[in-house]
Amino acid sequence: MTFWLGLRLSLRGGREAAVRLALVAAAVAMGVTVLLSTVALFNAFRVTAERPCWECTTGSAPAGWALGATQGAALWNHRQDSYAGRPIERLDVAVLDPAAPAPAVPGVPALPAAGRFYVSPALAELMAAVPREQLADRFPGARAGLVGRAALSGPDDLVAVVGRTPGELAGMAGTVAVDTVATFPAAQDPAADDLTALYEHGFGIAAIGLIVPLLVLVGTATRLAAARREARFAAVRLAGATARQINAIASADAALGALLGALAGVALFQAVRPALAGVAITGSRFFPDVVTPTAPQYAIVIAGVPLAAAAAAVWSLRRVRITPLGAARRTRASAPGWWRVLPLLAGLGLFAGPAFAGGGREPDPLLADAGLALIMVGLMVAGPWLTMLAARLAARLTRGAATLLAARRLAAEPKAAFRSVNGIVLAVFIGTAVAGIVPAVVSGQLAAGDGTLNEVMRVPFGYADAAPGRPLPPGEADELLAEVGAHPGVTVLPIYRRTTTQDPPAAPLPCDPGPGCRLDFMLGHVVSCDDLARFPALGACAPGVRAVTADFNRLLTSDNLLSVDRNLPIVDPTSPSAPAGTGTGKDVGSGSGNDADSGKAGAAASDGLSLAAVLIRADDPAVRERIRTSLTPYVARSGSAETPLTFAEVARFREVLLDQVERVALAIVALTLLVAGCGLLVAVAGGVVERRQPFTLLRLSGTPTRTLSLVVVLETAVPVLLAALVAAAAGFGVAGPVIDQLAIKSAPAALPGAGYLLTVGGGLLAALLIVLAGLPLLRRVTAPDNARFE
Amino acid sequence: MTIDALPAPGPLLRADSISRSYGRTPALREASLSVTAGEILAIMGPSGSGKSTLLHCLAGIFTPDTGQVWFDGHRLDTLGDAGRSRLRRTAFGFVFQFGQLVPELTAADNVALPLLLGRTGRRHAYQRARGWLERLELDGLGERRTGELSGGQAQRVAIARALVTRPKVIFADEPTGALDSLAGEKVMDLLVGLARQEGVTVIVVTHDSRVAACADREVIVRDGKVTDPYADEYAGEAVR
Repeated sequence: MTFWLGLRLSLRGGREAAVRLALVAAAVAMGVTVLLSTVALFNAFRVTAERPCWECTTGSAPAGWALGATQGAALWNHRQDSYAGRPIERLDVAVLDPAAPAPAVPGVPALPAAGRFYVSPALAELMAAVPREQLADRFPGARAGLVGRAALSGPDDLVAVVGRTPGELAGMAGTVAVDTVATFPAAQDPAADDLTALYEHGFGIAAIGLIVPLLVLVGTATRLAAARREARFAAVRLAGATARQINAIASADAALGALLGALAGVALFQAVRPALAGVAITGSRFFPDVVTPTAPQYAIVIAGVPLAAAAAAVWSLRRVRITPLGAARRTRASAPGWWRVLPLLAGLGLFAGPAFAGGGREPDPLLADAGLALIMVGLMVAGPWLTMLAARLAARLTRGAATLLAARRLAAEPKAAFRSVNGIVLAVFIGTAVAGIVPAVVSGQLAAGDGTLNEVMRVPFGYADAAPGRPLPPGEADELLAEVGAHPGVTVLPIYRRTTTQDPPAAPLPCDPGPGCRLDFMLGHVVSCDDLARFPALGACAPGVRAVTADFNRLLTSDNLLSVDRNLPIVDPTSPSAPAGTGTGKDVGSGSGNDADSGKAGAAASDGLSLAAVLIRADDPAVRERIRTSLTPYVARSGSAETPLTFAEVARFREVLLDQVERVALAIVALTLLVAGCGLLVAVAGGVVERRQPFTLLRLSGTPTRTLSLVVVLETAVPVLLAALVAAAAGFGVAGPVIDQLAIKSAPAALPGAGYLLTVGGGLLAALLIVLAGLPLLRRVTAPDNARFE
Repeated sequence: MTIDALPAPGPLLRADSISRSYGRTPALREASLSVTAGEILAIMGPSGSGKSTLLHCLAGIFTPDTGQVWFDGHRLDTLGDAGRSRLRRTAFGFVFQFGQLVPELTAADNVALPLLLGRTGRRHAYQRARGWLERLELDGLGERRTGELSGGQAQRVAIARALVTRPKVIFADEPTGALDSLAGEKVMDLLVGLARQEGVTVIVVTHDSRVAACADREVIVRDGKVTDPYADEYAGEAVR
């Protein structure tokens, strides 16, 4: 019966109750939509990560292949290719016994016969859009069909499964014999990178980050016009209701609004779901049908949100004592103390000090995490104290009635004023820190070698004993250099391997390897000084030296151009000249275009040096792709696991990853600001309804509505702007030491981009505009003809 | 505790030397008072004298700091919150100056509220509520929210709600304080008339002598002390 009474109060309680119910439902609907969107994206990510990882297939050792008919087996050569920076998963396969069932790749009806290939829809589209010699020529034969979605992570994946003869594949390094294709998820692949864990971690943090403002929103919504409701509850108590019955009535009231909001949120989510599926939050789109919460998740949200709201309503009543004569606070709010700012200062100090002490020392991740946690907690703890200070200052400095009223209330109740701003603080802090760091690091990546390496493509073969693949023998090296040199406008730096190398010493190294510290065992590469002169960023030989030994490993392997930049120059006048017996006592080859010097490469090769890698500069993107296409068989034969990429493309992979992090972070910030904005609106509306009587009296006594509106706006805007300012300062404070550590010194200063300004600036502006949406309510509820005091 | 006990031979409601302070400010000082069943008692006194505090202590809304309150042979001041809530729902009715009605509810809802809280069937509760609204000349207004009624009509709804549970005592605190004299007179006529018909005890706090004139007896509260010519008559008598 009491539950019915609660419903009765909510549903048929007149206009005020209806407005309150609508506000609660709208706020909860917004929160539920955001929550479901996050859950849907997380599900999409997990479903995609659970896809059978056919790329993880391993096979038997290359030795002793039976290239004749072997039942149920195939030769398998999987590697990564790239087009204009977009990665292509390429699988070359050869069925050993066409008459027997071969291992099956998901999404492909049967392994293609030699001269046939399958490509993913996105790759088929790309092949049709670009000149044949830039891409399609990499896949010999005719298209047998499209790779199905079982083999793909999303509609943008570029995948090719190419049929070969066993003989062709046997000549390719890295080929293995397989009899079954791996079906375990990619996340379980021990060789996989840790991106899955990174994203799961990111989604987890996002969920936690969102839960806080969502709970604040639901809590604020259920406490809407709490004082007036508590007065009603007192009247019901006078009629004989027990405290437990009051709790039941309050729960029913809150649960109803939350249930309506949850259902509306589910409906709203269905409306935004198609748009959500088009968002490439992890860099590539998911298949639309996997971007959805599961049925149990829907059920948990629909049941859980009303239960949470009911619990919040009961919890909020714990702080008041409802007597038949009215409601009384159980505790008296005390003014926040100065100590509240200590955790924030301690966090900033820890982060800028011990965690990132600089001086080339690696940052301490534990101290950095502790510093970050302290800063985030500190922002929320310090907020009320800062609000009180600002309010007191404003009250002292200003004379207007509106400022005075707003400042006095803020000074009296800073904790309540700051409560609805908590979400904004964290959002602005995280957004500013990420948006401060990412552009600086990204711009730094492209500044390696003063940017002169950006268009240089690195093509590693077997550049070190530990690296996969083998260096190209002299004959193949000649052929490759001649082929590359035939393209117009191309500059080449061949990097050879010494025939003999030394092992690292057992004793500790006398210095940190890098510029100024070149230990002999590391000097495994040989380059011609003439060729090197065309790549000045890599350094220069001493005058008169024809060839030098150097360590190009970091240049060839690192996927972080900051590391590359820190190792430049690789060659300097102190670099040892190539000793006799390494084949460099005389000319070491030069592959500069198609000039006569290319013959020198042959001289080096004939001296027994193999080609470890080639650096190729080709400014014309079309030429670059043609070269990449022509390099495909050499890379395949060498068995190199490295894809030929320009340094800009290497940087771009990192940039894409960092951009993804920034995009995810800003998406979370946007959602958080949206939720926080809703919370602000609810808080403003609640505050207006709560203070209807004093506001109406002020109006009756001649206070203009404009002044009252200004009071409401100031009461909200001051904590919001103050919080945003402090949080942004803390965000930049965190970004500074990280940029100092991660960015290249010569990189131009990079400020947060348009995404940040749009998300954080626009979000804050939207939040403040949302506050204005509450003002018509103020005008209506304080109209003099409403002045009835029961 | 059984509220529907046999009528006590002595006073229905009795306060023995009760004191109550708000912080350091005493509101009642050793106040004693007895009220017999069916009696209509007016408590008068200047503002701040403690008359409302006395009423709230007698109704079990406040617990006195010292002293005892007896109702129908049972200690009221030691009763728990749930017990006092049940008393308010079943044995007591309240008519205050304002604030006792729930403005979101209709007049009929408000009158039926104590019955609904006491788990009376909804149909029966509303039937009885409508009956009382008719007796208070409010027929046709049952579906109006109380915020839409005039002050006099709202007070009559409060009287209907106070009587709907057939209480033993109605506590009225300045029931006409917010009404004009005509409306006030009508409210008091109805309250007193129906109370007499139903045999209900009425304790009314007022500073209006016209209201007090409706009572059988009046006591004066001044500086937290009660001047009651009948108090001595019951002094020392055991209460059942």
